[in-house]
Amino acid sequence: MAGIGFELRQHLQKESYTDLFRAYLVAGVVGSGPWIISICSMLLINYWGHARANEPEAITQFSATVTHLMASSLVVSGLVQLLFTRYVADRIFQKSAESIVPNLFGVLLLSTAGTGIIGTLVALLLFPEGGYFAFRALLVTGFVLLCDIWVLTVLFSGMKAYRTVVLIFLGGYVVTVVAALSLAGYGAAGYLAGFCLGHALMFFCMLVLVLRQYPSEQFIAFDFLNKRRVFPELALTGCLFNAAIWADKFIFWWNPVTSEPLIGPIRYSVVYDVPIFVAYLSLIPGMAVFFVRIETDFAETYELFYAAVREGETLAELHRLRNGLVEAARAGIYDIFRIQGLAVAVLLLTGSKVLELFRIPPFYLYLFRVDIVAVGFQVVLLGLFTILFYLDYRRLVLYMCGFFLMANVVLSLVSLHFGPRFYGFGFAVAVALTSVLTMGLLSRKLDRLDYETFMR
Amino acid sequence: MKKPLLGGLLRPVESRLRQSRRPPARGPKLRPGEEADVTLLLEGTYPFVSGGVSSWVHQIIRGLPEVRFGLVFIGGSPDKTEKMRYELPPNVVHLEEHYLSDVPTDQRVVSRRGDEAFHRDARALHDQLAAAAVPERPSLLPPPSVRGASVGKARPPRVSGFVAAGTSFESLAQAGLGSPQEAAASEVAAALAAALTPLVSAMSKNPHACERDFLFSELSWEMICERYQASARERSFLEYFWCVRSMHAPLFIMARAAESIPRSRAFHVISTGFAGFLGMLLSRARRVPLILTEHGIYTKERRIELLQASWIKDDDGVGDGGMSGIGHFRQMWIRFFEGLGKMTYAAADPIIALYEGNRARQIRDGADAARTRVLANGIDIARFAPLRARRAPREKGVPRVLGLIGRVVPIKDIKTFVRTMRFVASELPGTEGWIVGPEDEDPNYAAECHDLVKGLGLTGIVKFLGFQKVDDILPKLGLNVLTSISEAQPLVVLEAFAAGVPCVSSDVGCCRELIEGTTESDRALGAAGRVVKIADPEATGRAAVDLLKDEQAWYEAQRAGIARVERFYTQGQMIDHYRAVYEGALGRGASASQAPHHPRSAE
Repeated sequence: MAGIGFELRQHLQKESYTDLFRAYLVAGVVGSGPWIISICSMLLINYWGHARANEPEAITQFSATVTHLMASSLVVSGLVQLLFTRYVADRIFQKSAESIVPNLFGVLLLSTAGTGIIGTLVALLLFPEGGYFAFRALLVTGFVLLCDIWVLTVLFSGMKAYRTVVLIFLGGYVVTVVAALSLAGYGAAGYLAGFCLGHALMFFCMLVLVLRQYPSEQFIAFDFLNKRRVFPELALTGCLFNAAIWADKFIFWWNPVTSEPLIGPIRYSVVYDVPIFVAYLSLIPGMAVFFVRIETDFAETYELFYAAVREGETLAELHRLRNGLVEAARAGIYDIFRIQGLAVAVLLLTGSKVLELFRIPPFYLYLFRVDIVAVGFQVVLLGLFTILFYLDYRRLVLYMCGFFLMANVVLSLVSLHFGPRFYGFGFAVAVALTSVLTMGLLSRKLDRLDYETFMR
Repeated sequence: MKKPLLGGLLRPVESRLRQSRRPPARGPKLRPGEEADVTLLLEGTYPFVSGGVSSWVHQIIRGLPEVRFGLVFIGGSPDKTEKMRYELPPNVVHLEEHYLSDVPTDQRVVSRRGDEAFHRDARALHDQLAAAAVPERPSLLPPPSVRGASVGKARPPRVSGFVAAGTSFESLAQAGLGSPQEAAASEVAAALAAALTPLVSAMSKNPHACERDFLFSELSWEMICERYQASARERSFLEYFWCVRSMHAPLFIMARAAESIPRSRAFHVISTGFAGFLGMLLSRARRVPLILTEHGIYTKERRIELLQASWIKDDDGVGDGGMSGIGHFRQMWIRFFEGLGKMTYAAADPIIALYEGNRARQIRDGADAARTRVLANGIDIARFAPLRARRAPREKGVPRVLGLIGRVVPIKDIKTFVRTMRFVASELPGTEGWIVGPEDEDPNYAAECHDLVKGLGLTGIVKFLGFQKVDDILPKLGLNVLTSISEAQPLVVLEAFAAGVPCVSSDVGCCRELIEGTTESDRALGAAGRVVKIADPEATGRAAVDLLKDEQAWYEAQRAGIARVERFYTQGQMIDHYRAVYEGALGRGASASQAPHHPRSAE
C-alpha cells in the first residue's frame, strides 16, 4: 500500500496551484476523514430523526449513547492503539510483515474479550432500573465493535492505507444512517441497532481487506505482548491521551448541575455537548496542513538526517541536515498554527451563522467560540506529539499526556466551580498550556538534536 | 523535564542483573579486610587462557610460595573463559574476573551537563599525551622526501586521532634534533603523572559518575566534537564517535573494577593496555607500588592486529598529507594503546623487560630509563636435562626431524615452515617436519596450512601432531624451528636448548640473543643454532640443512645451547630476581604506608 506521503509529495512537486490545492485536499480528507464522517453522520441522524420521529427523546438518548461509546472505546483501546501502531511500524521496517496479521488477531482477541467483559459488567451493574435488554445488548455490541474498529484503523494507518480507511468509514456510516433511520420505530434501541449494523459491516470489511492483502500462515500470535518487542509506556500514553481529551466531557456529564440522566449511566450535558462536536469539524484545515507538512517535508528531512548519521557523514554535513530537520519541524508546526488559526478566526467571526446552519440555538455561541480555539490547539498538539514520536521521545509524550489529563481535570472542575461563564475554558486552557509546554520542550530537544541522537 | 524517580531504586536491580550474566564466581576469595601481598593484573592470560605468558605466571606463583598472590583476570567476554587451564597453587588467595564487554551500569539515560572539572582534567590529560606523542612522529612517517607538501612548509604534520594538534612545530623540530631522549622522557613521564592525578582521584572516588559523564553528558559531547573538528573533520563522524566510545568505555569498566579489588601491598601487571591502566589507577589511588613486566610489547602486538583488522572502516585517501598507508582510525587506536602504555610506564616502578631490545623499546615508548630493568625468563633445567639422555645414541646420527612447537596461528607463520620443509625435503630426502601445537585457535588458518601441505606435495613429510607434551617430542627432534613473525623471549627455545636441541629461528624478539648470545662472555659460549630472516623459507631451509648435514656443527650448537641456558636462563635465577623485586616493592609500600598522612584503613 503506497504511502500517502509519497503521493502528496508528488502533488507538491508539480508546483502549480491546482496541484498544491489538490495535495491539501487529499491531506484534509485523509487526515480528518474518519472523524468528520462520523460526526456528520451523527448530525444527520439527529437532524432527520428530529424531523420525522415520534419520540424525539430517543434521538437524544441515541446521540448521547454514541458519544459515550466513542469516548469509552477510544480511551480503552488507547491502551493498544499506539503500542500496536509502533509494533506494526517496526515489523514493516524489519521486513517481517508476515507477523503483523497473526498479532492483529491476538490484539483483536484481547480487545474483544476484554471489552466484552467490561461492557457486560457495565450493562449489568450500571443500569439499576433493569429492562432495556435490547438496548444494553446492543450497547455492549457497539462498544466491542468500536474498540475492534479502532484497532483495525490503527493497522491501516500503520500501513499508510489512509484512503481505504476513509472509504470504509464512508460506506459504513452511510449504512449506519440508513439503518438507524429505518429502525427509528424501535426507539433508541432501533437507532443503536442501525449503528451496530453499520459498524459491524465496517469491521468485517476491514478484516477481509487485511486478510486479502496479507495472507498469513499463522493464525494468531501474541508477540505484541513481549516486553522486549514493544514499548509498554506507549500503552499508557495512548490511554492517557484519549482520556485527557475526553476528561472534561466526562466531568460535565457526571456533574449533576450541568447534566441530565438519560438511560442508566448515560447522561448528557445540554449546555456542553453540542458546541464541542460541531467545533471538532473545524480541524479539517489544521489536519490537512499536518499531513502535508509533517508526513512529507518533515518525514523527508528526518530520513535524510538519520541516513546521513548511519552512513558516516562528516559532522559538518550532519549539522546541516539537522538544521534542515529542525527547520521542517518548526515550519510544520507554525504552518499548522497559521492555517488553523485562520480557520479559528473565520469561525469566530462567522460563529453565529455556523450555529444557524446546524440548527443550534444561539446562546451556545460563547461556548462554541471557546471550543473552536481549544480544538485549534489540539491540532497543534497532535503535530507536536507526532514529531516527538518520530524522534522517539516516548517518555516525554507520556509525561505531557499525563500533564494534559491532570490539567484538563483540574481546570474543568475549577471552571465548573466558577459557573457557566467559564465552561469550556477548562479544556481550552489545558490544551493550550500543554501545547505551549510541549512546544518549549520540543524546541529544546531540537536544538540539541545531534547531542541527543548520539549520546542518548 | 522530570527526572525518573525510580532511577535510584533501579540501579541495584540493574547491577544484579548484569552480574547474573557472568559465570558464577570461581576460585578463592579474600574476606573483606584481608589483604594480599602481590596482586597480579592479567589481561587475557592466566588462569583461563593457556600460553607462554600464563605458564610464566604459573612458574612465578609456584616459585614464590611465601608470597600471597591475588589474581585479577581481565577478559574480553565471558564465553571464552569457560574453564581454568591451570590448577591454582595454594598461595593464590584471591581470584576475580572482569570483562571488557560489560555493559555500563546506567541504561536509563538522563541528559546532563556533566562535571566541568572532570572534563577539564580529561582535556589536560589528552593534551599531555599529545605532547608526549610528538617525539615519536618521525619513526612513523616516511622520510620527508617521500611525504607530501605539508612538511616542506612551516606547518606541523597533522596529528591524528582524538589527540589534538596542540603541539608547535618548534617542539617537533627539537625532538628530532637530538635533545637527550632519556631526559626528555622522564620529564614527559613526570608531566604525565601530574596530569593523571586529578583524574585518578575522580575515577576512584566515583567511577559510576565519571562513566555516566563520559557516555551521556553534554560536555563529553562537546569535547568529542571539538577534537573531531581538530583532527578528523573530513571523516565519518559516526565511525569517529564509536571509535572514541569503544576505546574509553573499557577504561570506566576498569575504574569500576578498581572499587571491588581487595587490598594488596603491591600490584604486578604483566602487560600495559587495559590491565596496565587498571594498575595505574590502583597504584596511584591507593599509593601502593606497581610493578610492570612486559613479555611482548602490548602496543606492538595491538598494532600488528590493528593493521590486519577488518572491523575498522578506514576511509583512506581523504586528504591527509602525513599518514600514508595507515588508515586514520587505525592510527587512533594505535595512538590510544600507546597512550595507555605511557600511563602505565608513568606509574610503574620497576619496569621490567625480558631482554635489552624490549627495554630499549620501552624507553622509546616513554618509559623512564632509570626505572627500567632487564630480567630474563628462566626454565626448570632439572625437568629438561634428563631429556638429553632420552635422545637416540650418537651413532645413529642427528635425527632428521625439524620441529615447530607452537600454536597454529598466523603470528607463528606456520606457512613459512611448510615452505621451508619443501626446500629441506628436496635437499635432504627423508627429513620430516613436525608441527606440534593446537589448531583450534584459528581454524581457518589451520585449514589453509593443511591445504598448503597438500598443495606442495608434503603429505607424510609434514605432520600435524596437535598438542603434545614437549617431554615426548624434544628427544626426537633434530632441530627446533621457529618461524614466528613476532616473539619476545620464547620459552620453547630455552626448553629445547636444555633438552639438547639446537634452534633455527627467525630474527624476532630476542631470538638472536638466545641463539648467539648477548654479552661478551655469553657470545663466547658459541652459537646454539642459526638466525635467519623472517618469512624466508629458503634461508631457513638452508640453515637447517647445513646443521643437519654437518654433525660437528650440530654438536657444537647443542653444547652452546646447553651451556647458555644453564648459565643465564635458569628458573632459580629468575625466581630469585623476582623475589628481590617483590621485597623491594613491598618494602617501599610498607614505608610509604607508615607515613603519617595516609593511614592504611582509609581506602
